Amino acid sequence: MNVRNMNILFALYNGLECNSGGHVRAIAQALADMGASCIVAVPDDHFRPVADVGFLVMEFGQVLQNPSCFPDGRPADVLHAWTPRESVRKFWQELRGASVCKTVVHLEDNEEHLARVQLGDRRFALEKLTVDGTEQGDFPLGVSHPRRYRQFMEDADGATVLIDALRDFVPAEKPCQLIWPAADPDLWRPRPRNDAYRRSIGIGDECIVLGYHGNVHFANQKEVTSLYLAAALLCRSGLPTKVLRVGQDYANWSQDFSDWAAEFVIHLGWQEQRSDIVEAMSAADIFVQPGIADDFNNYRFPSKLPEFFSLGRPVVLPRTNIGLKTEHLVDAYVLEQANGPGICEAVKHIVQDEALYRKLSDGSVAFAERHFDWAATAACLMDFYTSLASGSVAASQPGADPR
Amino acid sequence: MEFNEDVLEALNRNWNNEFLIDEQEFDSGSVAPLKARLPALLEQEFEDQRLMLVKDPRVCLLLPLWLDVLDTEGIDTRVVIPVRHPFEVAQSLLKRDGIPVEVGMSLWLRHLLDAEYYSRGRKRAFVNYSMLLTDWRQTVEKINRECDLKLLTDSEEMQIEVEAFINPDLRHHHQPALDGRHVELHQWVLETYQILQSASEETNDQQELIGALDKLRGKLNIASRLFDAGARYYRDQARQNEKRSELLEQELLATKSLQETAGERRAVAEERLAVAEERLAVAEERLAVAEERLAEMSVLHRREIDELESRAANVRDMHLQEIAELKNRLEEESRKRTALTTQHRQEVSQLRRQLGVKNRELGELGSDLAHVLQSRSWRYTAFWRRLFRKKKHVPAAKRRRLREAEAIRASELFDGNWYLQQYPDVASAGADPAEHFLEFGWQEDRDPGPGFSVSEYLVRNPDVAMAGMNPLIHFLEHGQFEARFSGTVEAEQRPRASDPEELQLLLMDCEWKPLISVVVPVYKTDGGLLQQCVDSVRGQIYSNWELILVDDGSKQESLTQILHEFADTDSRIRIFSMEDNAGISTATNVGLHHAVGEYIAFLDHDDELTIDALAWVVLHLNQNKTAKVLYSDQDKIDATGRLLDEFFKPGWSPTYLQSVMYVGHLLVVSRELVLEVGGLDAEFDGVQDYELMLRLGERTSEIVHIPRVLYRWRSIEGSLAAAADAKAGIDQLQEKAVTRHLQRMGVPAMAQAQGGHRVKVLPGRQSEQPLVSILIPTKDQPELLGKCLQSLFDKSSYPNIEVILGDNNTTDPAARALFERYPVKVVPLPGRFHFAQFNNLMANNASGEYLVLLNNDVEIIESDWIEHLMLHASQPGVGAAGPLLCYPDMSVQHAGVILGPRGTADHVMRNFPVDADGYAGSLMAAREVSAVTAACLMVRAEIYAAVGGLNENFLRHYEDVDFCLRLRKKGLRNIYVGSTRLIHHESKSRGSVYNYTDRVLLLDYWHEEIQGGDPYYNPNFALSGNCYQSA
Repeated sequence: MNVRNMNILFALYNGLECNSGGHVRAIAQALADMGASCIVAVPDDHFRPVADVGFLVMEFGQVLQNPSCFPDGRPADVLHAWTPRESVRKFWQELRGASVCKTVVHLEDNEEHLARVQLGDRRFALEKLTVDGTEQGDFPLGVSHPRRYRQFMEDADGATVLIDALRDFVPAEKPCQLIWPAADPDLWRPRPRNDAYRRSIGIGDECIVLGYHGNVHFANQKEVTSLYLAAALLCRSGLPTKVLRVGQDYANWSQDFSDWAAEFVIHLGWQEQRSDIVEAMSAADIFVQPGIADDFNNYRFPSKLPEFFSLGRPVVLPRTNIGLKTEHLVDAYVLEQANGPGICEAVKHIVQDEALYRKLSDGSVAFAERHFDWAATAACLMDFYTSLASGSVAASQPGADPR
Repeated sequence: MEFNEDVLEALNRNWNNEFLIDEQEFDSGSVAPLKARLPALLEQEFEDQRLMLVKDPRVCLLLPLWLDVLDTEGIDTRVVIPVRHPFEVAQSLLKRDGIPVEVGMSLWLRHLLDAEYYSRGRKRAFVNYSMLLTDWRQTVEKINRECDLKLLTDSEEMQIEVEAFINPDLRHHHQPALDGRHVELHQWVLETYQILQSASEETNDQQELIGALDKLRGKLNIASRLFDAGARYYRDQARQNEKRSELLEQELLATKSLQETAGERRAVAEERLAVAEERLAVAEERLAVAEERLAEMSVLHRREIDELESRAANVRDMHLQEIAELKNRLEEESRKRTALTTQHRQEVSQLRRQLGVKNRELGELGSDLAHVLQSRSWRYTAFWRRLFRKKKHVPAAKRRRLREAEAIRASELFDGNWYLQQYPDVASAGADPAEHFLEFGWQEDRDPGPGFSVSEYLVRNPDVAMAGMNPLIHFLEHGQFEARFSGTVEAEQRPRASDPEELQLLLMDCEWKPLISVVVPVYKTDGGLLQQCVDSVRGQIYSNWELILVDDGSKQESLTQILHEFADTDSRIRIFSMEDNAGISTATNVGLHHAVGEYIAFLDHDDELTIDALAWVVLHLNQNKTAKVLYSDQDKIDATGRLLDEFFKPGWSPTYLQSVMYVGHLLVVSRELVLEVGGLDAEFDGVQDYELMLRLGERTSEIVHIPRVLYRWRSIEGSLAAAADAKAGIDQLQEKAVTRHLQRMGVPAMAQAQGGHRVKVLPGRQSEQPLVSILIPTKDQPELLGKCLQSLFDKSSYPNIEVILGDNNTTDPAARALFERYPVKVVPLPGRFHFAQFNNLMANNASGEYLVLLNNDVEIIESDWIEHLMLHASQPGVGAAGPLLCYPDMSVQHAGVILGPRGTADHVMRNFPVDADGYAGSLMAAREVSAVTAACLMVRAEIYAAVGGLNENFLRHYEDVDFCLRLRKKGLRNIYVGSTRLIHHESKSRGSVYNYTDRVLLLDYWHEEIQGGDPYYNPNFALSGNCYQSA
């Protein structure tokens, strides 16, 4: 089987607008450009028409009604389940009855950690132990079932992971491929600091601006708090600093906290257009990915990192996930703990050493050019599909770099 | 034409698309290769022709691309724009392609306006289509004139050919009908047509007409952009629908083919079915024969079963009848016993109260009388008394009653109006409710308000009943500071039992299910209580246990019989009997030696385990596989099983254990370890389990606390559970156990019994007295600093100290004079006051082996305060030690810090009277805590340096909490030392401004620890307060 006659079905747990959807969209487009036929299936209530793409978007229900929905009248050769979350797993289960294809499960987070946080320890433990059919209440579709997801991984033909550490959740001997996301090169490329924009939102030239775009929710609330704290500590030490944030807040900040943060944070809220996000972020001096190595961060790839690296500013990040692949003071400023005081010290170091600032700005772009490329990711994935289809793939080798 | 189609496709357009193509799009990546192909195409098409003619309406849309290429190739270009009536064009498109008239007109408009716009500045001619058909020669002449050409002027042959081709019949269509919805389009089209018509009739371009055309094109462009996205979307949808239709058609064909195949297969299958039916008929015959045989055998077996069941039912009925009779008798006995017990308890309680009151009154009266009669003044003033007999002496008892009445009135638990409504006899007598309650009410079991129950309080606190005290007065003066039960009944309703099914599931997931030996020494135990005790083990959710009952020479036949019945009914129960009574320790040790479980659970013969007790032990063992000792929370029940009290304990706290027997029950110990330490020591019978725990704690720190009530301690007459002083000599035994423990540990300290099962650990004589550096940051405030320094130098008995004053720009002369008056080392600390930084700088200047961080508003009131702190700070494994700090009114300011309240941390038991016991002795005892305040904190200098001192990121708050948590992270324990106290004039020197950044900083460092709960503050306590209130 070659690229031109391969039918690839992506099953996404959410709509194409979410971060994962952005990855699927870029990969499906790149695969289509290579000649493959791609369909992205989304839960029925998440369908929104998409224009100017080289693949079809369909609802789970539509695909299940007619599994041979590809232009050549055949069903999928490969089903790429984008996370093992319950909605996707159920779709796979139903589709399996109607069509035979290779199944690949994609992992982008520590699903067990997320499930534990969302379900609570008690329900997580019980769901893990309960026999099918005796569960109490509906299990949320957006969460991986503690037991059933493992069986899903076992039944799949292969897995893809966004970060090496996620191989911990892939059954031994199961073929596994590491794939890295990238940024949209039309938008995210080196840009000079946008002083006009800074002035338009009341930021002076001397102020240090720490850029951060992304939503805040239960899982990353603490680390975004660390970023705010870093700005407060920098101000306390005599360096005027603001955090410039774009994205939605799903976190429960107290009123006292919000009042305190207002002094250090400019929050622009949700921006519909990606170009507006780029515009805002180009006003930043330094990008910061806060956090520490823990059960959440060790197993994720923050989607915004390729974008941070592409803009040509120093990037501060913790020694976990991508931080494990970057060289300290060359590609980025890597902290053992990117907590408030850690970020504060790193920023002080960078802004007080002009040569270091330039070196890290260049380093981030060079790192992006070496590692973040959708076409290369798609090519890598296509090789994986092809070898799976031909049965020639070997079990994963830990630590393999996608490029 | 093909080329133009390719270009349009690359631009995602069609010729029948009326939307604007931006000029930049012709430079896009998808068009560039096509554009590069055009010169070659022209070469191929026209070879060496001098005149090339390109006629295709698509060129109107693609004119920028064409002109760009032609210019680049050096080809001279002329543009001829035929102007045909738009309605004719629309009608033509309708007929040929089914394009709606309105769209046709839009297309006309787009093509004409684009052609005109892009051809500006070139040699061009507008020609009238009608004129062309009627008089082509005139039209050609116009083209030649305006475009500087000589078309058809030389060849007569060609003119004849043209003549033959062109005739008015080529004009097929006339103006179509339009509906009112397209008036505006109609107008744009007509305007454009009129302008272009005019241009085709004139000889030159007219600039004013161009302006009008620009306006029209502008409007069209706006409209195009407005609807472009929508149109693209619908076009994509249409494509997808087309694809789906194709797929459906393919499916239909495939289905038909399948139908045909299925028809053929069906015929074959029907043949096979016929054969199979024949075989089935044969098989059914055989089956019928077999069923007949089976029926015969079933009848025979049924008869046998019925007979057996009938016999079994008779036997069962007999047994059930016997059991029912026995049960009725037992219940009757139990009811009688419960009634008697209740009656007895009430009587005893009443008698105790009366006795206590009388004793107290008698004592007070006697004391008053003796005092008065023995006083010299009484004797010397007899004359004056007689003289002024009107002035009466107010006796102590009366003064006390007045004070107590005031306290009752001020209490929130007393409600005068409620009291009068509840007890109308009091109201009708016109009595003051507070005085009535004080004098009579409480003795008549009347409650002072809806929130306090006199009878419950006395039942749960028999020591109060024995003392004959008014229960509300006791609660106000003592009980609330010892976190005693307040007398309300809600606490009884606390849900505490686990869900058995849930626990079963969790147990299924456990890898390790060790055998647990429950050891129970038995001595002349009440049969009913023993039955409940054994039933509580047999009812355990966790099943891998053995129960070892050791009869300690009871010599009671009935008891022996009961014990053997237990063993007969459950193979997991084993009985051992001793010839003579040897005491609880010896009997328990016998059980230990016979036990085979990996862990031993100690259970007293009249107590009970909760049904989930062993399950939770095993769940915790699976989480802490190296645990050697486990203990749980416990409650107290009376003879009838009613809940009296609950005791929620801290995590493993060896220092606290030296003062308070807090571990208690349920205690589970690794069999290997308990045998290694030699089991229980009979010398300590009465506190044998406490003494064992002291020895276990010396051997291991793998000790796990399970914060759940897993043990029900029976409070019966004469037991320790009923009253702290129920057994004589317990305090002395406890003191002895602690003394031995301190000796074994090599701690230079003495144990001193305080009564009420409390032991105070006092510093002993030390062979060495290392230098202690006392660090005091200060600025002005001469009054406070003076009090601090004076008390420090006058009161402290420890001989080897240096005092370092960190001077933050003191200007007050009186304060500066203090620097001279006392033997202190002054370290200048300029700049903004920064507590953490100043202490670190002073520590750098200190020479002592120990550091004491001390606020300048602390006053020393006890001489041996340094010795007390050093006793603990010098112990291996200890980080910081901090004393009890009190406000000048002798209420508690600091007795340790707990994590969690206010989302961060807070001082526990703030505002308690300093002489109170606290929760289970936690105020008077030294004990492990998460943190102590840096207002007075002792730490070894090397430890201070090893952790980098105080964290200078903190400006005003929490540097001490952060410091202590860093010590804890290094495996060191922080100790609150309740055995010594200092006065802290906190409110006088500290502002109230709260620095929120410090709060966020603390949470940034210690969020997990704070969220995880304070190990020394039981999770069953509410974090909304800091006084051990139940959650």
